[in-house]
Amino acid sequence: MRLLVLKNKCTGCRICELTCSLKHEGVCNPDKSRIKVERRSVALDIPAVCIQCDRRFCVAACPLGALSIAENGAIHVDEGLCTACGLCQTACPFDAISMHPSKHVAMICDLCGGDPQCVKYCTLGALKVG
Amino acid sequence: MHGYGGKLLYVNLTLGEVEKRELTEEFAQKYIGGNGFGARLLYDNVRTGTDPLSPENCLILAPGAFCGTPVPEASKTGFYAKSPLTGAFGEAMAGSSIGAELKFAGYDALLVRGKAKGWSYLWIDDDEVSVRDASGMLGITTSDALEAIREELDDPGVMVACIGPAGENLVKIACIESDFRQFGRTGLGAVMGSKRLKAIAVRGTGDLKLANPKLMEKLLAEWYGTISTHPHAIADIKYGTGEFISTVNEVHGTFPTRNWQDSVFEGHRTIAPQYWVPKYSVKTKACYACIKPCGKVFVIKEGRYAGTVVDGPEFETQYSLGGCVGNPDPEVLAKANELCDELGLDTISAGVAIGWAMECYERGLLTPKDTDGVKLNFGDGDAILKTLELIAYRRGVGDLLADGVREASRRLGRGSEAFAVHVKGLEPPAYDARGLKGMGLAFASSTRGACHLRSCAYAAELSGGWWKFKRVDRLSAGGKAYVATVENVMTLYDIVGICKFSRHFYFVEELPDFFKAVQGFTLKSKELLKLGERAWNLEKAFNVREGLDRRHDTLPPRLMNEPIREGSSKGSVITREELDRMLNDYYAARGWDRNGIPTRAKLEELGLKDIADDLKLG
Repeated sequence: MRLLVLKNKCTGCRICELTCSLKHEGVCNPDKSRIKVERRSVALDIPAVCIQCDRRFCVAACPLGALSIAENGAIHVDEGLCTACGLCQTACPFDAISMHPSKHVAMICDLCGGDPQCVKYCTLGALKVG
Repeated sequence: MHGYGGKLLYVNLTLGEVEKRELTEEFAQKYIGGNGFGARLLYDNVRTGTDPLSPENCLILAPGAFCGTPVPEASKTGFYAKSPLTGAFGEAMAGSSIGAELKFAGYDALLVRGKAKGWSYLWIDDDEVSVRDASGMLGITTSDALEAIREELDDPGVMVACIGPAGENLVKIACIESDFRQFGRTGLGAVMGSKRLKAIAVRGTGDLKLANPKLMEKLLAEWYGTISTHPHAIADIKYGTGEFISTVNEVHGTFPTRNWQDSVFEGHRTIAPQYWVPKYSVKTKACYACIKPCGKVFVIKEGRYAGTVVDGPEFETQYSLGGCVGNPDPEVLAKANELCDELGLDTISAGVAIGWAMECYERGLLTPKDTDGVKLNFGDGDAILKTLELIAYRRGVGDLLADGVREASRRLGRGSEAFAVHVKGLEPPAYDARGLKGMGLAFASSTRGACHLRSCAYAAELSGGWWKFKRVDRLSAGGKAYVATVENVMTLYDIVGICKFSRHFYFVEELPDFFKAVQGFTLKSKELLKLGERAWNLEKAFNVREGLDRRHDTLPPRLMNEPIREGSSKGSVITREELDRMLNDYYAARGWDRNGIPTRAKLEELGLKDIADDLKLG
């Protein structure tokens, strides 16, 4: 399973951030969302989320072996091992990794166990499961 | 408390003081948020007779109570102040993400008073609140200000509300720009400018906790299905808010044209989104948490206006900088819209002001000598664009127009008051009330002056009914007491922060579930309407305290003396008797006296005894 991002279709509504943080953290907080949308200008909204790329730069970059590939293709973060060193964040060419503001572990999309909330509520289909 | 940031933030720019007060449960339950907080805080903090551009006026920012949650379409946030344009209750709303950001920072309202020593911006970084130097940003456009602040704070996630040159120059039709949306109406950009406040920047990283996250997930799934397949949503997504522009011209004949001299614009086809969306629009854009996006990004790639990029023009701007100034050119329209957004002007008021000036020019009341040589003829694109700049910088004829048409016509005189179209000083939106008489009442009764959104009565008038109101006859002055109820409903929307374009799916009956999920409040539909009514009465009380009464609930002379000249509403006008009849019915429905003043009994019923005492009502 993979996420496809069609950024031209992103309307910048950011409801994906809210549903993501609600699903994973039980609260509304874009800083705790695995997907982030940045409105850079009047015509440019850029969603950043893990697209389960082939190269898995993050897994290779992790010095502690805290990142692995789960059965559904998502990156699994072993929160016991992760120290939020940020090397995976630096390595990711898609800006898809951020650090949890209070737990101090890497936050990476886990595909919501196969039913990604962000995809579900993306009106114009900027996010798709491929 | 669930669903709230938990604090109210008070900033005094004169003293450089910041104070955080707890949001009490009692205050939250009584006024809920958004417009409810704005109306109460304004009443309590701005004294009678305050000069709107003095340090004593307060500028309040209050996000709707559902902002920051995934309730679809809940992004509406309001600015409140005493309006420099009307001298009365001032309010401007937009679907900017700054509302949600403010709540993530822990605040349910911000109140700014005083005046900074030098040009500044307010930086709210969660708990840390500071006033920073903005002298280097003076004179820059709104998008440049956003970029400059994000660069200075080194955070692309900072949300900004700012003014352009118009607000700095105390133009009374200046807006506040935020997230590429505009807090347009009642000139609150000038209030911000009078405080030497270039911008408010917010970054919030806190949690917004919901009372029942599981219920929210369930509601979201249900409503997503309803909204995404709704024909109104589909039409809005395709063409934006102006998709019915042909209908209001051809079927209703109520599209104000050339400063309201005509009600059908022969050039409507080219300013209609059906014409320009396929040709120019590159992207569909949404407000925060909106799943039925209506923003159409208009890009001009070649020709005179190459490089124009603007979110819009939406329906009201199609009227104000299209029909109202006789302009059928979509490129001029888009460029004018972009100029307004960048310079920080309200497109509605600016367009109507230019329309008035054009009529003055064509009647010889303004000559090329008065206009620096600008030929202010209807439909002249260069004149429109040039005049917008003159207004923003208060140069030449722009200085006259910068105070709005009420003040401009007072200054110019010579009969120009007869065609200055405004109510309480606010220039009206795109609904010719002569052919939509309920809108005439709504223009007159609105606490902020001629407004479509405080009642959305146009929805019922144009289509013959809305919600539980059926058989609404747009050409009759009878049966218009319903306007009082729809004002309460729409004020409720402004309290929770739901977009008015949700009125096709969310009726009052649907909102209790959201309250359960977000705040955990158990509220029945009837109690919800009371929330809207309470806030409306507070706004009214603010105006009553300023000396406004029935005399001010009136309509521009043109709407009462000059019947519509052509089209399907030909011959229609609102007579004095008709307006009086509508006002009598309306005041009765509101439980106010015949002079349009809330009664003690009504205010006490709404839990506003202190307001009745303050107004010394018998």
